[in-house]
Amino acid sequence: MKRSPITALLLTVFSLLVPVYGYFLWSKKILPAPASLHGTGIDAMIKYSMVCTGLMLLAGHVVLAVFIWKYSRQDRATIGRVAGKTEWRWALLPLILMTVVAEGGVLVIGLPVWKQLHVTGKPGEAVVIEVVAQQFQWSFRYPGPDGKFGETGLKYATDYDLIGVNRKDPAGKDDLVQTAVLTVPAGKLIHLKMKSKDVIHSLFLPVQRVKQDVVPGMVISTMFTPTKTGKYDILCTELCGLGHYKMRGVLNVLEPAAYEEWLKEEAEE
Amino acid sequence: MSNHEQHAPLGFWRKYVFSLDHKVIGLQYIGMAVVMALLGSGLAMIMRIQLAWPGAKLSWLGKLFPNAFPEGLLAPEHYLSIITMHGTVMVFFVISLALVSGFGNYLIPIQIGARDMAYPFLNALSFWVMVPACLVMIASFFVEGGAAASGWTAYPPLSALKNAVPGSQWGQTLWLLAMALFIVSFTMGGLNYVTTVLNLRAKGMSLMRMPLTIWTMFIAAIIGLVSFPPLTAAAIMLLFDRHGGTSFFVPAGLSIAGKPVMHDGGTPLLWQHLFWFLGHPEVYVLILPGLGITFEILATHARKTVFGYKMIVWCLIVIAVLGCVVWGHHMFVSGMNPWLGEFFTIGTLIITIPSAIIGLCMLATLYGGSLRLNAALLFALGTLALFGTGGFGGVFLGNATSDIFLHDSYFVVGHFHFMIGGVTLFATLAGLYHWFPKMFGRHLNEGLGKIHFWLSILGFYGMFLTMHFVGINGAPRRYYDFKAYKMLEGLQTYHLCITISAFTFAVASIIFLLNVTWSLWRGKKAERNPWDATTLEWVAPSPPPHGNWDGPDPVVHRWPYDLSTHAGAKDFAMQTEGPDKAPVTS
Repeated sequence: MKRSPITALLLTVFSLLVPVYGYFLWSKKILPAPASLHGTGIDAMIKYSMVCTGLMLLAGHVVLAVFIWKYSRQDRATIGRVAGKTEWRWALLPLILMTVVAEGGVLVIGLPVWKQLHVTGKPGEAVVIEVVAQQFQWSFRYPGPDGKFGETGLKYATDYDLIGVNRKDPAGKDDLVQTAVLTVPAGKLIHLKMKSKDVIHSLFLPVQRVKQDVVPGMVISTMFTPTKTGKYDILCTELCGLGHYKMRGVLNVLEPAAYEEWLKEEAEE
Repeated sequence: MSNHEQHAPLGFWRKYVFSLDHKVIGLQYIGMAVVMALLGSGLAMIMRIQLAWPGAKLSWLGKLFPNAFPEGLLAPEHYLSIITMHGTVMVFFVISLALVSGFGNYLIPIQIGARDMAYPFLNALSFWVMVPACLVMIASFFVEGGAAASGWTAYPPLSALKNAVPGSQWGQTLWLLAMALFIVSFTMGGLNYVTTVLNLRAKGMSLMRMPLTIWTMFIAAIIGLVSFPPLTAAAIMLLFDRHGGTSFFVPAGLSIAGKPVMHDGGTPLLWQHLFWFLGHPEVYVLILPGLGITFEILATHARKTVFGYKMIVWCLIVIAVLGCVVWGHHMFVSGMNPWLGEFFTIGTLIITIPSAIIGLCMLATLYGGSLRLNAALLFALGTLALFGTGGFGGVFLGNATSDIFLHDSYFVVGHFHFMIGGVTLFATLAGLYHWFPKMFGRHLNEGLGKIHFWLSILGFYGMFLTMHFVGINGAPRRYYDFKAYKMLEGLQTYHLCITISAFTFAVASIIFLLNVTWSLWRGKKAERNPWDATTLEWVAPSPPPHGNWDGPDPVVHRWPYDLSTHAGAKDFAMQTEGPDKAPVTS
């Protein structure tokens, strides 16, 4: 039988290099650390999956490398068919591993984080802000001192108010509309109520680990608590047309006192 | 079916073009897939150039297509058309055609001992419906507004409203028509597969003696029949929304660029459910046959019985059933009920168990074997490695909590290229190296095959393993460029690395095409059974005539993996060898 020692050697080395390359990529952190309460939970979930699957990947590739190296050098198979029972017994290994790694990870780490994103706090506890997406602009509306959002309509929209608040509606009089910049207080639960005027968009706050599709015809809520002040990018992550890639917004996280001051200033304008 | 007069010699047109022979139809599918692959990969290259060097001027493209590339510059609308068409063409018109339709048609009858499909005419009809499907899809590049630009998932309202994006004009309509034709053709093929496997098996070929390739094709055909028709319905509904004034997917009160939209009462989520009800099972329709082919090749070229044959069959069935009820994991951030999200998470992650068992069986099949490291086995080993690595990515995405961050990022792109790009493509290539001698009576060149493998696997990991980490660092997919975002600047080197890898992969593919062309006429002549394989196609001459076997109908005496179980000079027993030649174990 024809031997291929060079191919065997290359394959063995390559099998071992794959996990090394994976580890190299994982070790380079470009994304900033999470700046929200639940964000650390999401990172923990990703890290847990990465460590578990990384170890399995390494083990699998070492076994593969050994098998290729060893069994490409023998002229004839040394093992025949094994008993069915032995096969089923071996299947327990992936069964237990995947149950613990995949399902266990979800139940222990994943579920509590998922809950944080979808359970609204007690009434009045959260800062409620309306998010309105349209091609290719984000608008944000604050209810003002009365805590109520006024009526909106296409006919009321202006260059400064893309949402189109009816200023004659008593609830809408004090509504504050902002374009592109979402200003929020740090350390408070933020409740975003999201709508779209045209197609599906998706609000992505990478550093806060928030992502939620904004679907026309629906009002979708998402909750998060920012922990660090500063200015961060807002991206759109659902293909929404030509300007999808530059539908940029800014998340401005202020200290609570500075936030209150900002609200007052904006209301006066 | 032993009547040879049914398979009398025919003229050129009936023999090679409008043929009813399952082998010719299989090869026609593979040929069509190669043509579509050239288109799909060409689009990928343009996409990669843009991402590595945003705003680069390609004067030669500007001269070739002055409208699409004014002064050689790729416009955002054309970038969107390119990603949409790359995805659609590759998933539906390359991998589906080559792997499921191509290998399925070629192998199913000949591996179960039938002289042709149950319905040869339906089979030919299915191919001739696929031809217009391809042509309509290609034609969409040349209509006003260009090809569809709403992604291969075609989410409305972007795909429903003509002024939402330029590609949503006639391009989207043609896209929907082509998809509907594709499903019609695929359904005819699937019916044929199921009927043939159930009714035309040779004497002695019990279900548990079928090669795993046949098992996977059989299960894939059933999944396809169950899950594809809803998308036909959805495509027709979307066509009505676009041209008939209905509102299945478009809600009330929308406006595009300040102009009100005249629709009301629909919901965009309905489309997502219908699309992914097809879209997720489609993944298994493609991957399972890839796994079947891989088992076949691993066993033959490692000279070992398949480890855990019965277990694998059961795992495939479990995957098929679960695969049809977990589509919602594509919709974790879609606004779907969060309780549903957890249901889909737990369901999806159960699939990792049978998948991991299959991976273990592949690895264990090598254990104690005698590996012949030829191109076919190299690609099969590649499939095994990609299945493992890619599968682990599923643990992140199937879990709603990590998916919040990774959804619609490059992680997803990396993951599905490993699974429905890599596992399937490497299995297809392994299959071509393995069955080429049977198909054409000549071998592919081994030296070129090895170069092809090494460039492919290096390019592949360079592209898609890297993409996982582009996603983990926060880069969304379907972006024309990332210039607006300072936090993503550090990823530009990654994009460059991916593009270089993509070109490496392209060079590998060109070498492969040259190898095929050269080997068709000049390749080493193949005998009946050059690999010492065990299944029925290797009993037939290479290439097999119309009707497959020159002698009487084959009779099966044993399971397909009687390798390394016998002590004599010969380490295998073909399925047709009776108990007098070697003891029958299964």
